[in-house]
Amino acid sequence: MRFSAQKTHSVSPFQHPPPSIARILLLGISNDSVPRRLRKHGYECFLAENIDTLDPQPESWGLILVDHTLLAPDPCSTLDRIFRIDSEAPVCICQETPADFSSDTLEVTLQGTADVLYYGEIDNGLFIKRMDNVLVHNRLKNHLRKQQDHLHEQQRLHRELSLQTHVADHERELNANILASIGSGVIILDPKGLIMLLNNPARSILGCGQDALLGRPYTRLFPKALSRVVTHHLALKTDKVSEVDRLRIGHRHLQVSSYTMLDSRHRPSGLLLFLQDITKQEETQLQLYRAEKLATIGTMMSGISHELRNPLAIISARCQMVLAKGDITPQTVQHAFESIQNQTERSAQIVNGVLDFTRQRSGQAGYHTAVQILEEALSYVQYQNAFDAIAITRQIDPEAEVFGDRSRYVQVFLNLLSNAADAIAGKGTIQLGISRTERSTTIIEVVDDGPGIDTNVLPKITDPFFTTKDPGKGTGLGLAIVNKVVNESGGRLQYRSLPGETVFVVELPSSRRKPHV
Amino acid sequence: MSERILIVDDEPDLLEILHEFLTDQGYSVLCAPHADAALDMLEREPIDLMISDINMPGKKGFELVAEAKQLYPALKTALITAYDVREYVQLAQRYNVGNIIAKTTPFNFDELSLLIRNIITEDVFGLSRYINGPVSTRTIRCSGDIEPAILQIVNEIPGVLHKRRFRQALGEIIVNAVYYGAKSERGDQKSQWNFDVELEPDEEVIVTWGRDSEKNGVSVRDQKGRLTKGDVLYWLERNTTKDSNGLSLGLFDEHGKGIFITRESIDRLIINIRRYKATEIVMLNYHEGLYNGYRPLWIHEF
Repeated sequence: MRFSAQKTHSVSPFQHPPPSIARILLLGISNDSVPRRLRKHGYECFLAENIDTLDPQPESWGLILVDHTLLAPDPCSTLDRIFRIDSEAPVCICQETPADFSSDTLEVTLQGTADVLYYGEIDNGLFIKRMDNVLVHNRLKNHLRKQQDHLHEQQRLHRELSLQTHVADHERELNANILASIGSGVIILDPKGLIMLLNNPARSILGCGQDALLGRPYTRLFPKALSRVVTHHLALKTDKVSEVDRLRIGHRHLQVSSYTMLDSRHRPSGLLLFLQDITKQEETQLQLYRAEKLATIGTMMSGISHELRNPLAIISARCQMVLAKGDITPQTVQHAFESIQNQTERSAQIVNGVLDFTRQRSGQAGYHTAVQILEEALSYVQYQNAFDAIAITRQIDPEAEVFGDRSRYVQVFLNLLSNAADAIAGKGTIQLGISRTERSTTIIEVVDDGPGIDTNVLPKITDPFFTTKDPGKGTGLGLAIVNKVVNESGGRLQYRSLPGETVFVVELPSSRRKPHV
Repeated sequence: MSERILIVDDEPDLLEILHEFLTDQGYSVLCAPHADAALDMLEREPIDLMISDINMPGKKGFELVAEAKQLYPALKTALITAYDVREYVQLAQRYNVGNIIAKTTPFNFDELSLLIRNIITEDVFGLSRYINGPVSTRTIRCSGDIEPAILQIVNEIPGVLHKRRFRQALGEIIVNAVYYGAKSERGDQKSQWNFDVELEPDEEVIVTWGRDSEKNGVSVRDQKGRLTKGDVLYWLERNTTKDSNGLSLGLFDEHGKGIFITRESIDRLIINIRRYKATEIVMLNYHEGLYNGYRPLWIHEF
């Protein structure tokens, strides 16, 4: 036996009389007038002799009526079984008259049941009236419970919401604080390039006040150099996440890190710009480069002092010999003077070399013979101990020229030669090579047969302050300067190292036109 | 027959000057512009003394000397340089080279001439070889004589520049001559030295001093000849070479600093050794700072 359920039908608890849909289960009720009357009042009635004849499928009931005789012999357990038929449905016990219940079972029976109905009151309508009351009471009870549940849910949601609001407020405040207190400028642009966010450091870096700039296109606000970078990154439309550019805006040096922000489907959702003012670092580094240059000059001074001793000794010896000789002929004097003349010219060249080097006129680019620059650099360092056991071989194109600042080029090779000698640290060979390329450049190679550079550190050797030398032996700026000078001159520095062969290849422009290296 | 000298230098002017000067001195002089030419010449000609520049293109002076010595063990050699000789102490020790001549300004022809004569004749002892003037002598017979001798010398050589340094150097050399030279005390056991020793006649230390127009000089000579060229070069190297902290290797050595300090304090330190016969330390100081800043290496060991 199956009953169609109509649970979705909502019923007002106060509706009276009860609607016909109230489904009533009659258990063991043999009095025929009960179902008849009930149906007459519009109730749906279902009859069952006892619990065991019920369909085991759980059913939903508006009310369960039980004849009192079904409760014997164990009213408690029978009632439990009845309650389990539908835990929501109220249960009423039916009997002829109040006297039918023995007083000791009454107490038990009344626990959990809704009411006791009397068959004798069917005809006068009291049976139905009481039953209606039970149904109304039950509906009210259910309604109240639902309201309470609803209320609890509302309260829970409210608590959760206020917690979330609190967290969100806190996060918003935190983000605002981070953005405000971060020393760097932070700018967020949407994919169209409209400014979504701009913190105070960014405003100060860009030189704009507290005006409302949000929502305006970056092109109106950004300096040209920065605009170019942003335009480039916005146009990329790839999922490449970050880029770092160095710019100069007015007197400031900026490092701009750009991050493409991606949405959940990995499409660009905007551009985050991180602006760092690196003016101070740049200045410090510039000062250190100058200090390194002074140190180089120190090395050169020591070099030229030694170099000058040769011509000075010769000049002195020539004079003494002429003065000491008894028989001075015009020829001996002539010869001595020629020699003295040569040696003074040589001395002047040595001194001029240093003067050329120390003159810090920027942009005094010119054409120079590569071999002259290389030999000049060598002349400043080869007096050092390190060079005594080192053989120098040359494979040189004597015509090859380089275009650029002579003194800076001398410094490049001075550093490379010193490094090579330090690397050899004893007996070894430095090979020097000069050759011309077809792309208006000259290649100058410095090769040593020292133990080589560790593969792990090879990529770092041109970083400022990176050094493998003992404390006090090197500033770690030598190769950084080489790299800087070569790059700024439009050239290229390459190097490779194996045990027994470390090669530095300096490619420099040989023409005023910028080569494509 | 006059002695044959080979000069090796990449400076044509210097070859010419030395050729002329040494020829005038009565030597037969040959010249080579680089090491390989010198080795060719040694093969063809009998040579008594080879004087080579250190810093030349191609093979350097130290290598040339080492190679030539191996081929011709009897060949006498000296190096010559315009650079600071102190820079070469390490190499000198490695190659056991005792003589490095400095190309000074003014060019010191007398010194060159004397050094060559010394190497060729092996007659090196006696202050009179180094000072063109009267000399005084005093013999030290016991440790008590040391202080009075120093006092007398300092008083009798007036006008010494850097008197305190000179005095310290002199003390260092005389004490060494008495305790190491004569008595063969161990340097690392200074605390056990007997500071009141009598010297036997064959242990006496002879101190000579004098002065000429150019310089003054003191000679301290023992009769044992225990010092070796190797020792001197070793101690000089220990005190010249710096470790990675810029401190000299010999900083904490128990002894060996005296010879280094003396060499640094005076213009010329000449060490003459006749093994097991005599050790003579000659200290020369030029007047008015002449030839200051050049420190030729001058060790004769026969």
